[in-house]
Amino acid sequence: MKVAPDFEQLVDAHYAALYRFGLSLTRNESEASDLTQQTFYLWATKGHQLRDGAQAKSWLFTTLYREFLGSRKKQERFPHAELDDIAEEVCAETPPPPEDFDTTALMEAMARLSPVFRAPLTLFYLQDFSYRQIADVLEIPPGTVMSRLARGKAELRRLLLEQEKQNASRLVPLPSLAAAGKKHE
Amino acid sequence: MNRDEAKAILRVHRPGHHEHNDPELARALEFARQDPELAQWWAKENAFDTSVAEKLSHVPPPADLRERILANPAVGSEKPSAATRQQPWWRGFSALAAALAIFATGAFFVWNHQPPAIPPPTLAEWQSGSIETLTHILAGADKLDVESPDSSKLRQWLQQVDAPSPAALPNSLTHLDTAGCKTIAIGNQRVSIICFHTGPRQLAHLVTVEERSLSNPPPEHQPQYVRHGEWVTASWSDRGQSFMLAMKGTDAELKGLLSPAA
Repeated sequence: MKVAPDFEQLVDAHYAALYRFGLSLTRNESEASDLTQQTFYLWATKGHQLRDGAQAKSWLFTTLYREFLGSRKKQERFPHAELDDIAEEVCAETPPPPEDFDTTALMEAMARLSPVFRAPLTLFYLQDFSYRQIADVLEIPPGTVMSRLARGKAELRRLLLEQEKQNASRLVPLPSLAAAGKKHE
Repeated sequence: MNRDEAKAILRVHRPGHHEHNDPELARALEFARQDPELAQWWAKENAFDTSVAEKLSHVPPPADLRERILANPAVGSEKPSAATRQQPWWRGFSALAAALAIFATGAFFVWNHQPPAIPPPTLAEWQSGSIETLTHILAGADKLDVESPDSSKLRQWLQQVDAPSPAALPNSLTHLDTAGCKTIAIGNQRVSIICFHTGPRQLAHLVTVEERSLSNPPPEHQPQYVRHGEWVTASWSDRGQSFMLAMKGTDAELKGLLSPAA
């Protein structure tokens, strides 16, 4: 018999990844926190009906995504219909990966991605989701996930490379900071 | 299957997270084993994916998010829903009474098991915590979150990440180039730091926090000067925010930065 997961264990296992998914969707820390809390609230009030603990993770991510779409419905139309136009703009050939980038650069690049790419890409990089599971969470066909992942990864690389070039011209190198700190030592 | 088709399949699989019963993936992997160019391409693809996944996993959730989720009263009501069949009216009352009893017990449990709230930091804790971070940054043991010579861009970025962004800068700082900024948490409160170049090899750092986040914020418009070892600091509040300007230098240098004529 499959056992429903203990609530606290479920929170410990998934709240950080859910928060990161929420953050990638909303690009706002407080909204991401609210979505994560709302998702677990819904689990606490409805999720017990799901007796198979193995499906809990998928249920949580699907619920967070639905909540996000619901919250955006009144503000803007989620641009599913624009995907074909975006696809035309993305280079057919994947650009080479950037040599080096930090978490801040990555988050900035992710934030600049179109939401249609950002959602599947975040789930892809949250480690355990296969493209078929991503299709379940986002409720789109697996073939669509495959093409969005491919295009999203190409676009992410392009944005990271673009940032790398911009930063090279405007960044103040850290050694100057260290030097300034030593002045009075 | 050709090379491009194999790439299309491999591209959507994370290294180490393969679906072993996927025949198309098995064929693509076999193709990669026999095609050195494809194998090299996939190795680079894997390296990029691993790097992105690793960096994404470093984004920390808010420190109190777990506690907030667990403190939700709905957690105590994690029970199957009532049967939908028709019941006698008196059963409804007993069910309601039972529900109230369960709720009261749950609420009492949650009330008594909530983690103690973290008190807001004092002015001294905020100052010393910020100085500690600044010391780490200058020693190269910690990094700025964002680097830019433009203070308006840094303030904009701080707003985007919901960190305290100074509503106004002291006159003397408005025309200075910046090195960058960083956000930290002190006693569960978000604090931001902007580093300014005040001269060759010299920096001053503006630390900002919401005034309500401190248990005893500094006075309005009246900078309080305090020395912390080699650091000299001036702290004041203005329009709902508290500020600390800190630098390694003399009191006179710092006062010069805050004088209206500067």
